[in-house]
Amino acid sequence: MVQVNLMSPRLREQHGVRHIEMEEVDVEAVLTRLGVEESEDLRVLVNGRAIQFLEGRATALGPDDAVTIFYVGIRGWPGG
Amino acid sequence: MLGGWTGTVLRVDLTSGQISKEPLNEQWAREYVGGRGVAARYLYEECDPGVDPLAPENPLIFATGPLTATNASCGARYMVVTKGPLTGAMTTSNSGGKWGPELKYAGYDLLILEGESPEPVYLWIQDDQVELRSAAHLWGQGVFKTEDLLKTETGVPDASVAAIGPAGENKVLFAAIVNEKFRAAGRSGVGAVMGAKKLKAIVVRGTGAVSVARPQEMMQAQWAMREELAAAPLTAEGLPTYGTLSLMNVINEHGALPTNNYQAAQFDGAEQISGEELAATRLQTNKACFACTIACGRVSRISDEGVGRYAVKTSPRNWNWKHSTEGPEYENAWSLGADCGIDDLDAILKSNTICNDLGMDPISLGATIAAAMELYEKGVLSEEQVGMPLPFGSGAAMVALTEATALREGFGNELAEGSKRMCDKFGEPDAFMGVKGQEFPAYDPRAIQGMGLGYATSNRGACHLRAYTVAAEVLAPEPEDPRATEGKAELVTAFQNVSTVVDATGLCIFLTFGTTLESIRPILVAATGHDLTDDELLQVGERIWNLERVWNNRAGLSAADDTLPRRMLEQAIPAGPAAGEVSKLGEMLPEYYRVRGWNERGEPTPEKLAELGLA
Repeated sequence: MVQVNLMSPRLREQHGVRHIEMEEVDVEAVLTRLGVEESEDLRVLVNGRAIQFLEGRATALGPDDAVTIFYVGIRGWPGG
Repeated sequence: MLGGWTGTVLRVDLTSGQISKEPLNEQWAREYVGGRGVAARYLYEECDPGVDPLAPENPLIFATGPLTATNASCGARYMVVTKGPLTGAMTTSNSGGKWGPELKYAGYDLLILEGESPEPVYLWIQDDQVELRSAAHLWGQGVFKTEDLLKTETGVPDASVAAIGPAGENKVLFAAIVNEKFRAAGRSGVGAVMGAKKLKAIVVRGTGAVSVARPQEMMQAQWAMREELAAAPLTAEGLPTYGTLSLMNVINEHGALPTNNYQAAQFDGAEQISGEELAATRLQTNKACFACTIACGRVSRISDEGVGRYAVKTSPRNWNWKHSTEGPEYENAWSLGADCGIDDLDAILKSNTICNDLGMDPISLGATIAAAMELYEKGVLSEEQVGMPLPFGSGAAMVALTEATALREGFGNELAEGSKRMCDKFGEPDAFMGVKGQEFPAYDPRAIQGMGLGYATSNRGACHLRAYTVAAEVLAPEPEDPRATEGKAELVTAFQNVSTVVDATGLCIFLTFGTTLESIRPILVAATGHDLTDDELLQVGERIWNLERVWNNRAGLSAADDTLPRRMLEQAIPAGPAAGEVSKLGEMLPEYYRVRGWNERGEPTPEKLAELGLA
């Protein structure tokens, strides 16, 4: 089972839990099943690593993997 | 005189009691913008870098910026600049609230304190009337009571008070200056410098105004930036709702949350001390500084279960448990929490409140206690030496030692020297987690490489505010790889220059979570009437950074001080998402010097100094 950690208060409220165990094959499937909408503020980690440094939403998930989902909403930083 | 300034510097010689006023150096106001920059220039000109930080010859400078006390969002900041006793470096310690605006409304841009009073005094500033008064009856009192007494004594309840507590009086090397009871110029021991001068407090009330050069243009630019802040989720919703403590879970999930004195990088109890937990169980409301449109401050209350635990001798009024306290911020919740292995928000709130009342930097305090906990668990320190058991996770020990440190009682006298000196004394120098004598903040540099370079090269010792590359390496929509070193020298340099400029304006650095320097510049230009391009403004940041560096080098600091503890360089993170990582500082530092235009010894070259007008 994949452990999904909902770090966003919005998602916790929506699903009524902080952690969910799911049988999904990749990040895209997890986000779809949870109804997570595309947003520039959305951040997804797999085992603590941002999915930009993995295979993005296509990142494959195994039984011991942990997916963390949260929102940041940062706008300004040097070069940003 | 440029707009945004009053044009007057208030100078007080505490040795003689002489009080004088002089014009602000307008050329420096143009070249250094203000705040941190102008104050650094005054210190550069007036203070021998070799001075003992606690000697009368070390000036203590309070500086506003041209946007302090204007209606620019977050224009509340003042900067305390002096030679820091914790680090031996030029320190630039910054606070919000409304003390800075009051100083400006009283008619002063800068306050320069020199010498040492023969007896405890406080400074009372009410517009043109400035006087030193005896503080004999206040010496030994906490910040909270001092503020209450001074408002009564002056008969001006709206006055703003910046005070030291017993920690400053006792020259605790990380003593803070606290204004409005919960806002603090916290780092590097500026409160110890004030204590050494026997200056208990500065009470200020101003009824004047600040004129800006082009009001209509400034209003337009200001409203444009406010719209950006209101549109950015972090400044519009995240920080007001959860405060900076919303970072706790995020950093923990990345495996970058230092735990048990940096022996681990994930904390099992992170959820219990998170912003979400605080909001659900103890938060009463949020709070803003002067002119702030973000309001990240936390007004909170210890839980009913926590009320009776961890009693101490000092008893701040605001911990009458039916009253509110403030905080904790992310950094404090980390230092007093995860770094000490403590997952008890009540213990953190109590210790944080004691830090405010007795006047200490909670980052350095918590980190120093964490180092002592490591020494205790290694058997280097005994229960007899400490006066109590000191395992990781002990909220009781942390709260008791917080008080003991401020009062320099028992083992608190060792903690009062800071982590580096304490670890050196007990033969465990590698247990010190910091740079230039100042303790690390709350991001493991092995997991976020840019932060390691930022810590190592920070002019005031380890600091997260000088180059908050977490924004680019962790929080950004398309982050830079936190484990890579390529490009980090440029990234850190850019963050340092931008942060320095923001510090010079009198604005709060948290603005940069929702806007950019490109939006701040038009406000500054309209306020002062001094036209600057984006590039020229960035060069101001670079100029200030180099000025601080040159002064530090003259004070005896060198490239050898731009380093990290052996644990960060050689011992990999043992578990979690960043397991196996060490800081690759050695790859980044030479490139950083090159990007800065410094030689291999970390010294700005003559060409660089000439380019910046510092030759």
